Amino acid sequence: MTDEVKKYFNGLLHKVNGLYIIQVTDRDGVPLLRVSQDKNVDFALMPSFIPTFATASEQAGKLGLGRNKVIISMYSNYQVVQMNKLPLILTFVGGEHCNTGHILALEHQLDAHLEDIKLAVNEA
Amino acid sequence: MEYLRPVWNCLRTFCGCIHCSEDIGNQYNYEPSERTYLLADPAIHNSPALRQTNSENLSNEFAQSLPRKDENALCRLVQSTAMNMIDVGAMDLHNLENEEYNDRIKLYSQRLQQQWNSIQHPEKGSSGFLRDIPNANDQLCVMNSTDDLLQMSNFLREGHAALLNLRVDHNEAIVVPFRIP
Repeated sequence: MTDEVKKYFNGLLHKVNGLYIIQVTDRDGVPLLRVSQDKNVDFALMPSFIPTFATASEQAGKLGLGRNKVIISMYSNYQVVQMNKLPLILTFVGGEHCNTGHILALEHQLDAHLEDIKLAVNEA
Repeated sequence: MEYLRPVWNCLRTFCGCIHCSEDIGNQYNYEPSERTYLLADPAIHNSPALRQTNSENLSNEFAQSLPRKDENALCRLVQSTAMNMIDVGAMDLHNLENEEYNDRIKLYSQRLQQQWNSIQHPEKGSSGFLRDIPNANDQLCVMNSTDDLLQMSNFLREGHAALLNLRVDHNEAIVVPFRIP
């Protein structure tokens, strides 16, 4: 079953041109599942990067714009899309020319699988 | 962490109980979630606004001098300020120790293995008209009644004829999504 899930995630990864990594972590950045292409984009997967998103998302909600669920960070060479699926955090890393809309469209295709993964975190 | 106790004592003195947190949520339209404990978040405890009230003397003094109604109002004010304060310094508090990080990775991978081995996904189940009949092949092989066969072939013939008669009339412009990705 693990292989099937990874295969499914890999399939999604290859559907979007320029998408390098899909990673599912808990809110502290501990990885549960990761599929990637051969790209050195570890900066976005450092243990400090992901929990920062969780806090930033929470604190940003106090700015008056309401509670947000996605933060898109654009860099010179990369883009990082992070989704709040508490207790999970979904992180996508793509190239600067990757279609962000396509990445966002993956959300609904991942939701069913995330339910299973959430169980593993909730038991903790 | 010692300085947290006086802050908490101060708030307990003002409020008398924790139930006023619900009033706060209603009054300020702040949606409660699993992250909005009443001052249980260390980020909130670290906020400079609360550090300034870090004194038991101060709380006792206020508790004696203020009437009950004002206490509740002050309690609401302090709590709403704590909840609405944007605290960038809280970001450093979520870093895990390396050992705990590795332990959790192992724990999660074990749990996921167990879970995925036990979960039968719907797409893996059998499909077809007779999926609710165990050993459908055997059942069909022993079926000798000509009436049953005749009935089934009639159903099939009529179903096929109905499918052939289906026609789609385009009345308006149809928008076809590209289904990307």
